[in-house]
Amino acid sequence: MKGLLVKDLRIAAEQKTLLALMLFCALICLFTMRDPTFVIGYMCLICATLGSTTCAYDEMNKGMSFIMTLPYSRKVYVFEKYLFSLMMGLGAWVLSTILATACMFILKKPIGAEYFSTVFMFLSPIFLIPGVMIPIILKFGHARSRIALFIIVGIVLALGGILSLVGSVNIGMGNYFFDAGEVYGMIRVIPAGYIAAIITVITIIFFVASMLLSLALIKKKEY
Amino acid sequence: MIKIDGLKKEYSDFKLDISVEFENGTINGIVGTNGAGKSTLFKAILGLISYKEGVITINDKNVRDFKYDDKERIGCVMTDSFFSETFSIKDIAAIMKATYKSFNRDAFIKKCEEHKLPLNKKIRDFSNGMKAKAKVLCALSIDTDVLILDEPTVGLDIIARDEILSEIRDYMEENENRIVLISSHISSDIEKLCDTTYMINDGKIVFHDDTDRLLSDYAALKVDEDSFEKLDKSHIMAYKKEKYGYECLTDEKEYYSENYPSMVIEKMTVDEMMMIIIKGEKV
Repeated sequence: MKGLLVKDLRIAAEQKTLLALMLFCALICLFTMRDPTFVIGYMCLICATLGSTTCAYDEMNKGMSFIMTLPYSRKVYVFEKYLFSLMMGLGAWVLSTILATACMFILKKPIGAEYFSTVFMFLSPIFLIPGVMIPIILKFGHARSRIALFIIVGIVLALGGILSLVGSVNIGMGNYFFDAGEVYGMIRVIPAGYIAAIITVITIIFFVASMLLSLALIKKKEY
Repeated sequence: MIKIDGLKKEYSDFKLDISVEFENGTINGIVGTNGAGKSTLFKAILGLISYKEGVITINDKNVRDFKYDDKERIGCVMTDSFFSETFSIKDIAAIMKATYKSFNRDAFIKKCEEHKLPLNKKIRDFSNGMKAKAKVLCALSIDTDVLILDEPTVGLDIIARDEILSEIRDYMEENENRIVLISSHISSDIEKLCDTTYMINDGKIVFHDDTDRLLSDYAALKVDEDSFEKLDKSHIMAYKKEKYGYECLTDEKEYYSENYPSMVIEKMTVDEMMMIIIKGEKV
């Protein structure tokens, strides 16, 4: 796997101007915005997409045929993509958390449980972004994956819209009466720790399912 | 030895059906028209495509069971595929060093310098010839048992082609048990380099023989219609109608020069043989 990691790190190094610009913007945001945790989300989101960027580079000039002749199995190729995405995302999370915490100290803002729960909340997208992007790119290729991604984002937004509508209505069906507001109320009273645990479990299940899906997709592919 | 036994691969408009053996210590040339099946054959050996029927073994091990250590013993040059063109030679050297235990970085860099390939320039800024050289030199810097070269001299001028063929020859001399498979549209490359030439057409190997024998014993007989009727066709492999009569391919040039002294007998290139075998009639 070492060769693939070296390859992807060199591709990431190609993005050095973008990454330097990102860091510059992050530093400005740290001191100009009221909420330094914004920077954590910003840096994590950009760096978590680096893994899928390397997929696009692999595909350029029909490069996948050659890469698949390297002595690594297809399974190793897929695992490396997820590992690389996590390395980049977690690296950005650690760096941005250090910067944000330092900024909180400098600005003399309170660092408590709420701050740390926000910081840990940003771990979830680090797993979710490659979990969504990698199988889409493997299935559709880089060019068509953008269209697929637009469609998926559209479906998610539409579902969100439907749920918000449902939240404002009450539906009666015989003896059963569905009150969405009551359901939301119940969710709100669940302790934050439980919600964090539920999100963590869902994220892990999603990430593993995404890896298995990517593996199934790449095994079927012909280069 | 590479043994391909009953390999069948079907696409909607093409079917590959091949059984062949390539011996250790040989350079094997694969010739054929575009779409004949050369690249499909190579891709099957390299595990890039699936196939429902047939078995491919390298040194008695099924390629489907290959692990890292087995795959590391196979080098290849793909005609239109390589690392991302945003990389430089130095990047490629670092990746290859981290990938192959046997990759000789110093030898690769030295060869690139000898062939005047800039080490820090991105591959996308290379000429086609420079790209072709970089691919071949990269493959030749690994210690392999099998080297698969799909059109490695595409885009190279005659001098560069000769240099690359010389590099391949030297590579073969380092370990005489190696097997090299090379496809090329340039018949002179095959004639200069290969021990055996295989002709592939419409997914099947239609013909193969030692390259030395192709060049010494094969010839074109040019005869008018009357002479063609009377001709002993026992050593004629194929013939093609021409304006003057018939052009016949024989693998026994001496036989016809002794028995038909007035007959026009001409040496042929591999390309010309391929034309008669593919487009002509079988006897």
